[in-house]
Amino acid sequence: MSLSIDIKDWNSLLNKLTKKHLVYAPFAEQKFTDFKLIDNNPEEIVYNNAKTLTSLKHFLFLLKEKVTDTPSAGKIIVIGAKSCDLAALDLYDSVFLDEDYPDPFYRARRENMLIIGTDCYKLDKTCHCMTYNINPYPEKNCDLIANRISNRIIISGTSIKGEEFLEYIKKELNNIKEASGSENQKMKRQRDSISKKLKKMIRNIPDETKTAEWIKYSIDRKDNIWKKYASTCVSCGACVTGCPTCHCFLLIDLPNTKKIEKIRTQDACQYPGFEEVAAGVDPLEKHFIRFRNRYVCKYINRPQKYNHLACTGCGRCTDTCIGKIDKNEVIKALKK
Amino acid sequence: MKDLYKPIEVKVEQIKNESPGIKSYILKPQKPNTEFSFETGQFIELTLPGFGEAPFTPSSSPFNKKKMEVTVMDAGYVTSRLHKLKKGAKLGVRGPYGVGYPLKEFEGKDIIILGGGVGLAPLRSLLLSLIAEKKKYGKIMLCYGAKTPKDIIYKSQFQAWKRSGVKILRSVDKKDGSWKETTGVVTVLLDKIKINKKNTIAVVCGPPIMMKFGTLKCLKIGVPDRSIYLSMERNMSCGLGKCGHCAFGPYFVCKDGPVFQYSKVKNFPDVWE
Repeated sequence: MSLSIDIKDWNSLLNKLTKKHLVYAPFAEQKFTDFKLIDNNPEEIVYNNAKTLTSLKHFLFLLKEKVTDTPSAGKIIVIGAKSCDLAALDLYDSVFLDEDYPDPFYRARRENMLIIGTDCYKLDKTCHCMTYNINPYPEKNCDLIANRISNRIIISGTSIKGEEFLEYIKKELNNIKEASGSENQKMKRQRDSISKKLKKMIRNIPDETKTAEWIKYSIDRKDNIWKKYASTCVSCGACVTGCPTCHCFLLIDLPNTKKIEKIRTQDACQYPGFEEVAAGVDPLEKHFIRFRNRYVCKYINRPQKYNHLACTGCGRCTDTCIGKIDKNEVIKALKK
Repeated sequence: MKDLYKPIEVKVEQIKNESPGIKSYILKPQKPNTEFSFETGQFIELTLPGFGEAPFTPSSSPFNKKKMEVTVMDAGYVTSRLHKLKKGAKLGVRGPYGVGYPLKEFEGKDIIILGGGVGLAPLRSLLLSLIAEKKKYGKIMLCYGAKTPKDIIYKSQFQAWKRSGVKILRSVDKKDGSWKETTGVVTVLLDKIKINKKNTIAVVCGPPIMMKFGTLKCLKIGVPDRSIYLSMERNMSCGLGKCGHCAFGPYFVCKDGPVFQYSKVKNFPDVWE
């Protein structure tokens, strides 16, 4: 069942929630939107836009975290998670909640996070989730889905946590209704029209099967193409930072000789020396091989290991690249 | 394993000079009644408090649970600092991690151990495990190569291994006046042994170039690719198959290795990097 809530009531509820929890939502920021803490300004939240500048992973996998401490995480609520970022949690969960070594820091954050997804009613020019069979509206890994239709928020639960939140809403607000047939119709029409638009936009982008095949074929056969595209890459790692699935990290020992303390920081295979060993051998020493590594990892190695593609078609790697490298152009150039 | 990233404290009980640039450290847990537990071929992460962490495969026998020995070449940031340590220093140990040598598979078979330089460290642990239960295995042959006679590690131990029935062949790239054994790259030693192609296992560990030519030579003398085991060296950092630094094809060396059957990795473009 979906609830229909007047935006003013919803905003007052959000203001109340911010007194107890950290509540994040997308706000406009020049040409893009990004997650920010709601701070008495819920009326400025941008619903149903295209993806945010930064992905959902930054709530779960901190830029730096002391991993020799005891894990603890306060409850946070994230509003406005997009389908591409939600799909990326499949890979994150596979890595950090694996059977052998479930990561207590990730688990604490994941369990204490309430995720409210929203449909995309707008697209960026780099959006291509549907290339990899991900629809531009939340279908998994979130607790609720909330969309703005005119001056109302239509919200439904998609997990036990989400249903509990709906019950909380019902207790807190008087003036709520069940979403009407016409509101549900409007949401469906939005989904259909955005899907149609996106399908048209991505028609020339190869799917994951072709992509993996072409990359595999290109290794040692098409070095020149990799070299050509790597030529404007400055190994800044922005593609990795923006990527919702990239999860590599570095452990650093704090310069404190009395007690062993380790910090986990986000790392990138695009940085020189990422795989270098003590005696100096580095499988990713050559720049074009390091550049290629990201593609091989995303479309071949991670899917083989975890059964999840490590690209959800968000397009942030292309958006953020200062070398103006378009990931999909690289893949197209590799055509067998 | 509750604390994934928190090491246990250990004390350096003894430091042995193995060769110029290579030392062995005997480690003992600080906490009383704590034991080390690992399978031969698995590795640990050794922390130098306040400085850094690096992976090492213990060179001691897994049957000795009271103490653990690691053999360290002065080669990088952490190892050069380790070489400056004195007896009594406190370190941290996380692990053991990864998959060691599948000793069950080795039972009843002849075993060639092919090592180069400090690559003998994990192989020593294997050798000690095999010697401890010698009846289970066929012939054990150790082929070891070093740059010069001075660079040979565990010098005092070869006699004891020989007495235990291990066939030992050694070579050096460059001999000195007193060297009476083979001169040349380690692979030439494989010409000196006769193998039963259907029943021989080869275990290879050493610098990448030696691993490459050692493996190719094993194939040439007839050891099938599935019977060749490599101890891979990569930048294992977390040990948990998460941080990505030791990615090797679809595998992580820290979790899926460090011991790999050659048949499983032979097609990876970076197998010899």
